[in-house]
Amino acid sequence: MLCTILAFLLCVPSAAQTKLSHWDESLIHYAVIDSATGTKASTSLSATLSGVIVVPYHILISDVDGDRCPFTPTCSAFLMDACNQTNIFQGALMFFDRFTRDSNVFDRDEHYPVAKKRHRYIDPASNYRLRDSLIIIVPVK
Amino acid sequence: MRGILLAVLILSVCAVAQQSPLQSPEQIETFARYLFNKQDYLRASEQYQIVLRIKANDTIYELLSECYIQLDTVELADTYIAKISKSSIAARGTIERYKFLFRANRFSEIISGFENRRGLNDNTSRYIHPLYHAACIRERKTTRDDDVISNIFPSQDRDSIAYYRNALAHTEKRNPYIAALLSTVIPGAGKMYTGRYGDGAMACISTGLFTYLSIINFQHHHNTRAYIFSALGGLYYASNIYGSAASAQVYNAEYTVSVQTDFDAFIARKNCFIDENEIMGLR
Amino acid sequence: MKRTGIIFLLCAFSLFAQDAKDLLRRQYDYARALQTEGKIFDAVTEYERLICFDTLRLYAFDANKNIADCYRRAAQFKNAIRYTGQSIVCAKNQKTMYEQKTELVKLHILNRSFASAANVLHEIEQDPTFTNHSKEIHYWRGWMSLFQDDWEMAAREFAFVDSAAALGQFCLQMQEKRCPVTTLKIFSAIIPGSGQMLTGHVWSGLLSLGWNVLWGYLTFDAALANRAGDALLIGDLLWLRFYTGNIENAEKFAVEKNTLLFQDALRYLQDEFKGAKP
Repeated sequence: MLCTILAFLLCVPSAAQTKLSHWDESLIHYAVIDSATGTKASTSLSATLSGVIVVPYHILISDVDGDRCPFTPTCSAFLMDACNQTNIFQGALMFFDRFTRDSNVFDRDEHYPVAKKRHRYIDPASNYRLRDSLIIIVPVK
Repeated sequence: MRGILLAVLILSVCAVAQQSPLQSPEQIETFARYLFNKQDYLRASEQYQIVLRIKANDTIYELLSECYIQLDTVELADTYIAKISKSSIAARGTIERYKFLFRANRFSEIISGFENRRGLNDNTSRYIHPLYHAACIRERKTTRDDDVISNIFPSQDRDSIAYYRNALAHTEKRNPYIAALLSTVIPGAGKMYTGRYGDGAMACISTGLFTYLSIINFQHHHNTRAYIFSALGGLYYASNIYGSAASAQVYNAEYTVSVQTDFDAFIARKNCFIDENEIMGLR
Repeated sequence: MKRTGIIFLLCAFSLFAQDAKDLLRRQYDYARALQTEGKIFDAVTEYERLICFDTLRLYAFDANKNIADCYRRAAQFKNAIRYTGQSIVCAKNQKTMYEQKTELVKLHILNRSFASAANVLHEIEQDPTFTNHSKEIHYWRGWMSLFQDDWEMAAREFAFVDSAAALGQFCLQMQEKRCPVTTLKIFSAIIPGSGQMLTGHVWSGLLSLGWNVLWGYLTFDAALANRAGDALLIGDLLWLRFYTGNIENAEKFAVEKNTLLFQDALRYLQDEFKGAKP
C-alpha cells in the first residue's frame, strides 16, 4: 500500500515556472496606428495669456501659411512651452531669442540635432530656462 | 478498492507521459546551455531555475546571475551572486554585474555599491576599484583616494584618466555672466563668445535695424511707428542678453556631454580596466 | 496487491519505454498541443527543446516552421521571418520550400520590408524548379503594392490572376476615390485656396484665398505707387509666404485624405476579405 502511494506521489508532476515577461498572442493590424500624443494643457496665467496670442495665430495664420518653421517645437509652440514652464516675461524673452535663432539660416546643422520625422531641428524650450539641470543635449550626428 | 487504486495509478502515469519527454536533469541542463549560447536569456533563466531545484551549485548560480544581468534585472542577479559559495566564481559574477552597471550608465549604483561593500570582498574590490573611480569621475564626485588615483590605473592610462578627470571637473568653459555682459555692450557679442557666430550676427542686425527704424520714425514724427519699433528693438536687445547667457550654459552642457561620451568610449575600449584572462583564471 | 503492482509496472513501462525517435515524436506532439492551446511562448520553448536534441534534424523543418507561426501570431514579424528563413534551409522538398517562401513574402509584407518581399518573389520567379507559379507571384506582388498604397499597380498585378478579379476591381475603385495630389496643387497655384476647398477644408481655403488677395492687392498697390521697397517686402515676406503655404496645404490635406482612405481600405481587407491574404 505504502509503495503504491509512494509511486503515485513520485509520478505526479511538479510543474512550476518563473516568469519575467512572457509574450502572448497579439492582434495583427494591417493599418498602421499612429498614436500622436498632445501636450498637457496648463491652466496658469502665463499659459492662458500665451494661449490668447497663440491660438488665434494658429487659426488665422499658422494653419494657412504652411510649415514654415525649421525647428521643433515650432516658434509658437515654443512660446507656449516657455510660458508654461516659466512666466510670461521670461517666456517672451525666450521667444524673441528663438526668433533671432530662427532668422539665422547658416549654421543650423552644426548646432542642432535633426528629428528624423519631417527633418526638423530639435530645440526644446527647457534648454533656455537658465537652469543647467534641465538642459537636454542630443549629440549632433 | 484495488480497481480504483489501479485506475488512479494508470491515469497518473498517463498524465506524466503527457509532459515533455526530454525532462531529465541532464537534458534540462543541456537545453539551458543551448538557450544561453543562443542568447535567449529569459528561457535560459527559466530552465536554470528548474535545474536549481534538482542540483544547486555555484556554476548554476553564476549562469543564472549572468542571465538576469543580461535581462537588466540586476536585483535578481544579486540574489544569486550572494548564494555562490566559491569566492572566485562569486567574484566573476560580481565583476560582471559592476561592468553591466557601468555600460548602463548607472554610476551612482556603482559608487554606493562599492562604498557599502555590496557583494565585495578584498579580492573583488581590487578589480572594481578602477571602475569605482571611473564612476566617480563620471559623476564628478571627489573621493578620499583622489591623491593616490594614479596608483589605481595602469601607467599608460594615467595621463588620459587625469585629462578626463580635469575636463569633467571643469566644464564651465563659457561664463554666462560674461556672455550677458558682452551682449549688453555689443548686441550679439555674447553669442559669438559662445561660438554662435550666425546667431550673434542676426541679433546685432535685428537690434540695429529696429533701433535705426525707431530713430528714423521719431525724426519724421511718426511717433506710433517709432514707439512700436522701439519696443521691438528693446525686446530684441533684452532677449539677446538673456539668450547669450542661455547659450553659454548650452555650450557648457554640450562640452560636458562630448567629454562624457569620449570617456565612456575610453572605458569601454579598456574593458573597464578588467583583465578578462585574469578573471577567467579565477577558479 | 502483487498483481496490482505488476500491472502498474507494465503500464508504466509500456508508456515510458521508447527509443530516441519516439522521444522526439512525443516532444513534437507536446509542443504542437501547446501551440494548438494557444500557449505560444511555451510552445516555442518546447520546439527549441526539440531542435536542441534533434541531432539528425528530423524535425528541423517542422519545428522552425511552427516557431515562425507562433511568432507570427504574437505579431513579432522579425523573429517569424528569421525562423521561416531557417525552415526554408531545412525544407524537405520543393513544394514545402515554395510554401515557406510564400509565407516569407507574407511576413515581409506585414513587416513592411517590401524590398525583401520583392527579392524573395524575384528569387521564386528566377528559380527554374518553381514553374507554374507565375499567377501566385503576381498575386503577392499585388498585395505588396496594395500595402504600399499603390492601387494602380496592385490592380495591374491582380489582373493576371483570374480568381482575384474582385480584388482588382476593389483596387481600381480605391484608385478612383483617391485625391489627385498634383492636380490639387495646380488648382491651388491658379486659384489660391481652391485645392483646400476641394479636399473639404472650406474654411482653410477661404482664409488662404483672403490672405492671398489682401497681400496681392497691397503688393500691387505699393508697386503702382512706385514704392518698390514696400512692394518687395510685402510681396516676399507676406504674399509669397501665404501663396506657397496655400500650395503646401493643398498637398497636405490631399495626402491626409488619401492616408485615411488607405487605412480604411486596409481595415476592410483585414476584416471582410475572405481570400488568401498576408
